[in-house]
Amino acid sequence: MAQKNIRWLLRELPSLVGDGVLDGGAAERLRSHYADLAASRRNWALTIFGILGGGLVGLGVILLLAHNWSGMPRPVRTLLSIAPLLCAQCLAGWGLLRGKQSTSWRETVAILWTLSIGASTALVAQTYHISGSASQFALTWMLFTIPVVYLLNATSPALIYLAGIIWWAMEAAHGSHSEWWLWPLLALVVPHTMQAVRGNPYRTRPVLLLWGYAIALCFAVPLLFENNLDNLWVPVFCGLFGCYYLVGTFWFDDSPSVWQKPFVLIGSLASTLFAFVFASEAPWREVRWYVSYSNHQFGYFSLYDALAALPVIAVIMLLVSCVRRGKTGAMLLGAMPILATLGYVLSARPQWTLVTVIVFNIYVFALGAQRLVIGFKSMRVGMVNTGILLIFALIILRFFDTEMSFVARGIVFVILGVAFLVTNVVLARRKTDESS
Amino acid sequence: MKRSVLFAIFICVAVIQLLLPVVMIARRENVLKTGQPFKLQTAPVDPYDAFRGRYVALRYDLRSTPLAHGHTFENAQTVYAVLEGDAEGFGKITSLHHKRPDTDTSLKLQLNSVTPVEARFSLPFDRFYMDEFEAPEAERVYWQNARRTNRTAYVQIRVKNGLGVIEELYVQDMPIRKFISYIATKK
Repeated sequence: MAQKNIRWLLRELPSLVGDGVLDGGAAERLRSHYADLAASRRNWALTIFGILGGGLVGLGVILLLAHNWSGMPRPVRTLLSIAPLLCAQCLAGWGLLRGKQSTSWRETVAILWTLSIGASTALVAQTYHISGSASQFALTWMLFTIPVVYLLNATSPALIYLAGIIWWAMEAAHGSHSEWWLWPLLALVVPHTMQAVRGNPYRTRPVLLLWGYAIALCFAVPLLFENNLDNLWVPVFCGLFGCYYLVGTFWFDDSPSVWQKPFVLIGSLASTLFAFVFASEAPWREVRWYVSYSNHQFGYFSLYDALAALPVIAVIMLLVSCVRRGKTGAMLLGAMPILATLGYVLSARPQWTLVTVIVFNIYVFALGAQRLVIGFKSMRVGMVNTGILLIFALIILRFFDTEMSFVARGIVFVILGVAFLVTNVVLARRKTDESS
Repeated sequence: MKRSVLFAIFICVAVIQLLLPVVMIARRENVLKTGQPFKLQTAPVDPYDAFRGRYVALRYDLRSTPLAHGHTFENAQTVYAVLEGDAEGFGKITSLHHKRPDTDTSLKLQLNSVTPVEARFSLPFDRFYMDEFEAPEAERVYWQNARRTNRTAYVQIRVKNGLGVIEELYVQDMPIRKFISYIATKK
């Protein structure tokens, strides 16, 4: 609840008790409940200031050392290399001995410690002119960061780790198989994430970690395909974001705030965007070119084809689970990867492209209509608005579509317009009947 | 977890984390104090590393070595090269080995490509870090002294038991920082 609403409620409590709406006990319980909430928000403010402070100090130390004080004798530089790490370790050790448990303390020291590992390694490399790419440096730094996550039970180094390990995989030399090593390395912070998610997955800590993983996987999955994404991107990306949406809907869909549901948010936005893209002929022409080129080049079923099929198979299994769990509302958007993969398979035959494009236009329209209907039924204005937005965007895109003939567009627009008008008349009559 | 157990794990982690810079430092200090010195002719630029600062990127004339017919070296293989200095102290490779040879002047390096008669490699000294304000001036000075007609820039390295460490970057037989101050006083 927003702070101003809490203040309003607390102000209203005496008059509610006076009017006999609430008894004194209930009013007291409400007061203490919202006092706890305010305290937890204050703790988070402390944590965020701590993380910012620790992060800025750590980054400042790195920049100061990167200046390269070449006038300093080597022994002094050598001592300086170890100093930031030693200081951060002493701070962490002191806190562990004293049993300091507060989130703000743990996160502040953890970020300072993490950055000091990078600063020390960088200064030694600078002093001795050690060669080596940025990716090797990142990997060493990130592996030494893992114990910090678990010893201090801190989330900020876990997020830095996820970002750093993705950086390493993207920068690593060709032939180092970093795209495969990335997966066990990503798994190293899974236990920390599981521990945070257990209980309430909508607290700030688990939500941040889930955002970290949701973004990291967007990079990790494409990396697996190296140069083969040109002809496999349709099943890979549609399957991945379909999985995001369905997994999010199954396990992380109880929060009222959309920011607390990273998988649902990324999955639904990306799936809708792809459905829009596939409602035109141009992307399918490009897909056809790459698919026919790769068939011509290789002519066999490669390991990458099998890998690309995995997310789509996962989507099919999740859709079956959707039916079993009775979450049929999620099936329409969740089925996008299946339609896209069918379109991808048929893209080799040019005569099927028009059918695919028509199907996707109907599909986007159905997505908009579904949101409108659910929104009206459950009185959710946001959902109604997104439904209207989807349908209007589709109408505008098709109106200016130069690839369809004027006659075809005209007929479709008139039919759709008449359908809306008829619905309007039916609804108006029903409303009149109900009121009389 | 009990606090004593947690603290014991912390001590192990802290020691391992400290060992990384300490071992890096100790190995290189040993080479710099007791290793064999060699000079390497270079060519320059002035790039930037967000964490480690500005450096002069080094390229060398020493990029390949002839191989005997029927050799067993492969592309991207890690090998040991035995170095030998010429009359002026410039290093050249006398032989390549699969395992570390029984000599102090061997250097571990990775082969880029191998042909039946030649092995190409990049020496493991590709950067010389400098003060961020000195680096641009160093780049200018370096360009002037690494031209085909005026090659007076070289790097002094020390090598011992497979490990090599850069000792100094020289221009006209002067350490680069000294050379920059010398140029400044002449202006």
